[in-house]
Amino acid sequence: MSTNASPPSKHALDYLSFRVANQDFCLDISNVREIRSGSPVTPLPHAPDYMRGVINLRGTVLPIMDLARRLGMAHAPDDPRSVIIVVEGSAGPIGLLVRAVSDILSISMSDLRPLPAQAGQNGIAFLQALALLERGLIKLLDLEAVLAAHPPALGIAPHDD
Amino acid sequence: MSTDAMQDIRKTYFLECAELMEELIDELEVLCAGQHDPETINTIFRSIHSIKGGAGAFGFATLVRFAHGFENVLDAMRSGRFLADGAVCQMFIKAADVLGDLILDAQLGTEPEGEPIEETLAALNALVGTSEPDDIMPDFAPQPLALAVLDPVEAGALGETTAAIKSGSLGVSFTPTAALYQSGNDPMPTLSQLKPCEVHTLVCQTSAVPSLEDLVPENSYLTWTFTALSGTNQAEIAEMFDFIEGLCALKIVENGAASASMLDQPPELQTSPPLPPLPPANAPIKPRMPHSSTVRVDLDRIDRLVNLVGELVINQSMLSQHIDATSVAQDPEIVTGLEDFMRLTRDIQDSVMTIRAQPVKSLFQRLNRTVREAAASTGKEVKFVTMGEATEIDKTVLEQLSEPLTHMIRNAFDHGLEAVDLRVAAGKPEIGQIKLSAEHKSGRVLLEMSDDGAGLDRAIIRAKAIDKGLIGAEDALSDAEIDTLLFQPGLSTATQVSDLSGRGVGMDVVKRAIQALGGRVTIRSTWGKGTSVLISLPLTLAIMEGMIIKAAGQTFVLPLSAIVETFRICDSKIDRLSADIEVISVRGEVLPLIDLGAALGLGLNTNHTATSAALLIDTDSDQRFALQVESIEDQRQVVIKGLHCATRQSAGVSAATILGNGRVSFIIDPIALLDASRTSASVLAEPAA
Repeated sequence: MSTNASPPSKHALDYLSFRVANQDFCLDISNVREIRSGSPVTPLPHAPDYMRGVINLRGTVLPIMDLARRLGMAHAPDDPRSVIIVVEGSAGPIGLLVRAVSDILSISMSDLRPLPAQAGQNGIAFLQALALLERGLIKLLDLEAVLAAHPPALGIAPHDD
Repeated sequence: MSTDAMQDIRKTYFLECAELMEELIDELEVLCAGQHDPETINTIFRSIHSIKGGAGAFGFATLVRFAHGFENVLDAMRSGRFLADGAVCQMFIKAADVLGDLILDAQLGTEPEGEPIEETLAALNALVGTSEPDDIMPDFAPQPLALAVLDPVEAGALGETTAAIKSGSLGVSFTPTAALYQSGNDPMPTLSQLKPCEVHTLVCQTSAVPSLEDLVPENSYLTWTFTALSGTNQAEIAEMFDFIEGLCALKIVENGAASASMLDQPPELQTSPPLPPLPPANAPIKPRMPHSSTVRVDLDRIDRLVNLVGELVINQSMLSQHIDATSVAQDPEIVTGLEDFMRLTRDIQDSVMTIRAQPVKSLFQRLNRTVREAAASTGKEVKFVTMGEATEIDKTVLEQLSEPLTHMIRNAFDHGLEAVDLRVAAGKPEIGQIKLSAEHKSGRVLLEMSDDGAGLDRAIIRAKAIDKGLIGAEDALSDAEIDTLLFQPGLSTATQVSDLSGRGVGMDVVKRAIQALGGRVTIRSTWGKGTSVLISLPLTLAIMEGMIIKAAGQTFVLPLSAIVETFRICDSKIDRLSADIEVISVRGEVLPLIDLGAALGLGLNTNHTATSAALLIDTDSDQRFALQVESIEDQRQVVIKGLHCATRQSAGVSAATILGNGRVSFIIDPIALLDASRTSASVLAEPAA
């Protein structure tokens, strides 16, 4: 496990880094409730393609969002080794389906870089910032953006039967 | 006192206020029904008194003032100054309403509306004919109290007045104990109650006050003595000190004058453990009927318990399934053990479900007030009849029902009930009637509100619906279908918008509120006779009898209550009306056939082979259809799990459950399924839901 070698500064926060399709992202760890291995998902009727369905999380029905599809990336076929990151959304817990989870990184404010001012790309809309670390550039996911657009988008699911 | 403790006590106070108000209204009804039992009046008095006491402790000035005024009037009535007749009763009911509002304002921290309070207070005072009981600081005519002088009052000075007022008078000595002060009470308001009585020579005896070095501030050293003239009897005096009974030493001597000699013993210097400033509802109240022993529990705790029990049911079911698959399934002991386990689990489940249930009586009482207000503002006299008050409904459901039912009552007043002259012309009694009933029936709670008004004017409804484009001008609709149009948003047949209704936002909101509770609402009406609205609600929100079915390779659950029968499909009975619509004839009835897999967008089961199964679904609104599935598996009790709001939009899926094998399975809402199939269908001309 590689560790972040930059000297810890006052405002360092912990981030969970993970891999989606073939790219690396990270997420503020305070939003993460738990990490679990993927389990068979019960598909949800009439849902957008990035909502894979629901699983049973110790008695709670947990919706699963395929992060690759949500971020607009070419999605790989279902990988049995995929991982679910359970995050706390404003309306309850949601599971994010990712390829793998890597590390916990300590990122401070000084490491952050602003996003390039290019509009319109799906992938960028869901990013909060970039971080320049020893291991390279890593993208910080904007959890609110990922989850926020998601209820209204579902509402317009057409009846296509 | 820490803020947390204060908050708890505040919460307790308001809970008790709610109970006291309920008792108050009950007794007022008894009083207004003509019963003049003194105990009734006493109970009313005590309720108000308790509310006032606590309000004083928390500093709710307006509430105290109003309660005090109300109390005074009741006291006057109690001592026989006037009788409770119809007009008086009406006023009391109005005063009770104002009191309830003041309590609510105090609880929410909002400013109470001054006008109704002053009006009602003035009306109350007019009854008694006394001057404004507002000033809680009356001026007595006591002998001047000079702190420097610590000698008791000369017995001689009192002796003169004694001679003049000897016969029939009472000498009273009132000594508060330390506990009285510690519980936040104050002798002044109590003594001020003496005002209407004829009190002579009220004196504060200070003989027991020690010098400053020895003075312990928390102790009580003062005694008040006075003579009450004829006209007030011992019991009445004692009653004034009723609410601080136990916190003071009260001596009443007949035919004597209060004198210093009554202070034969120094007042008790009790150093009882400090009492928290609890509202005086804890003072001994002798109820007429024994209160049932109850425990107040936080709703969160109950919810957690309900969840855990739900988990238990799932767990037990999973265990049974796993064991079934193993070889030990045959062991007789294990079999009996598992059966006992299942029975116990079901019993626990049933018991826990009833915990959250409360009688609808409190809701009906609130609605009674709505009826009165509506009657007052529309000028239509109405009798409100309730039945089944003891029927129990889950507490959350009860709270959510308040708004829809209120709206329905207002509708009845605005649209249903006619003006008096029209009623008489139609041969109906002048006083209209609104009936509200609640009962348990076949696993559901049925509420019915009916009025004997004019009924629904279907011609107008139809016209309005055509106007709004909800239906075509040529469409033929049955009576029931026209009635159902009322549930469309924006439809109102009111020609003017009144205070109560007419804005056209009514019945559709009601329908959605009821549906959110998992219930159904239907309207029936007869022109000229009246209208009735039926609400059917599930008994519990959490457990349901379900039919496990398979469609498109997945397992789903269908509520058993919606299923009439199951049957096998034969190709010959199916007719295809268009690309989207299929119908099937069952015993002469032609019903739409909906394929579950297709309706859920999971793929069409195109092979109507002989092995396809179908279920005949009957919804509460009597719309039947046949649902085609791959297979029917099992019948089971399932625990309903709410869906994340983001996932709830799927048409046809109302909730989810976790099956015995740990997999999530969706619960199908048949009516939503039917509606969804209609929106996509072009042939059926039904209005879209």
